[in-house]
Amino acid sequence: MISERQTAADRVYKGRSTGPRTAGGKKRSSRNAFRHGLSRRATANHFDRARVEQLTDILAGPDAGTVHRELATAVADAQIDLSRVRATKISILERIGAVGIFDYPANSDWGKHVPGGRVLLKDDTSEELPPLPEDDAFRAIEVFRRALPELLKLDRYERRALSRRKFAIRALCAFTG
Amino acid sequence: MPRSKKSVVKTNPAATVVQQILDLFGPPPLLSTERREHFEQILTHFVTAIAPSCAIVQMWVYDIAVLVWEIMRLRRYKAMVIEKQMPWAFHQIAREFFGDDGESDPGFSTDKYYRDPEQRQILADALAAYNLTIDVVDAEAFRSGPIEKIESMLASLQVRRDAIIREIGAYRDSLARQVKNAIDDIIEVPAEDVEITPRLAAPAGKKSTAE
Repeated sequence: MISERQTAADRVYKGRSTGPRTAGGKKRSSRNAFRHGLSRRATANHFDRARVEQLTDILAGPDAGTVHRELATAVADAQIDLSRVRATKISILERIGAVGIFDYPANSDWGKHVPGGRVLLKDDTSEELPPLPEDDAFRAIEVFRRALPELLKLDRYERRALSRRKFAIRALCAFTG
Repeated sequence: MPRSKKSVVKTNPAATVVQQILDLFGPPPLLSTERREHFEQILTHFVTAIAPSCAIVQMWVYDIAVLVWEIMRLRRYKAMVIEKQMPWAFHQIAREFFGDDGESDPGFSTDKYYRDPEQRQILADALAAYNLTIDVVDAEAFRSGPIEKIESMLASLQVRRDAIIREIGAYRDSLARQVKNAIDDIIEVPAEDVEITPRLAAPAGKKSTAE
């Protein structure tokens, strides 16, 4: 619940912040909440849309009618979403393996002084983490430990894509008999 | 005449299906430290066992291979986490039993119980006095670290894998029912509706046995 003090502060400051004014500022701030783009459907992206269409062609076949094709598209869409989530999981692990952290520190030229890409953080980062261990096994486990919070967050996207695909396949099978 | 290895690979139906699956669903989600050949071996194993007949079953087979791969990866991580925690777990248990165990000494090492068998025996004897075994160290290593989260992720992956196996079963049952119904439609036609065409015309003047 919001405190009275917070409400009073909001009343005082509400007129002062009007948000971004320029087109560039608005564009930048529109992407403030952007994390990995997995909430978007695969068809929102040109490359993924082509993959969805390719898979739809195979699932529905060349002589499919509109409804059949629509149902096949739902399956293909969910399948491509699923592969996007899996690819994101891999990219998170790879990214942490390369730079040591998931979030790139703001306003810093991280990686500039990194010998062989093994040392990871610059001094000006907000979160101080020790460098990843040199030993491959320990390094892998440390990467995994750091990636774990993000991987757990992605789990729901994977669950949702799997569920969508399951019902889409059932609908397609029911239609094709 | 023995066939060349190349021709065997070309005619291997499982390898062809594996290639089809990889073309269809894209490169498998592997880390740069993981080998694609190993994934393809697993996929080939499932393709041989399940023999996917259409793109939908191929999708499920690919999923099972990906999930099994992830399960193996997490199990590997789990073993490594426990291994990593062991020196620390030995140290923790030793601290509980011996209190300050010379930690202020410059040569003190937290993994001395882990590395040195003699020290480990001293700790085991101390535990035995309380009817405990060295297994408490394993338990300590297990308790700490992200094991619980890894376990939960493993359970989730296993549930997904089992759900896909059930889907394949239901799909095949439904296919089998359809085939059975189609066969029944043909076999259970009343006899008078079936037109029998004689292979040879009966000789003139000779009565057919069918009459």
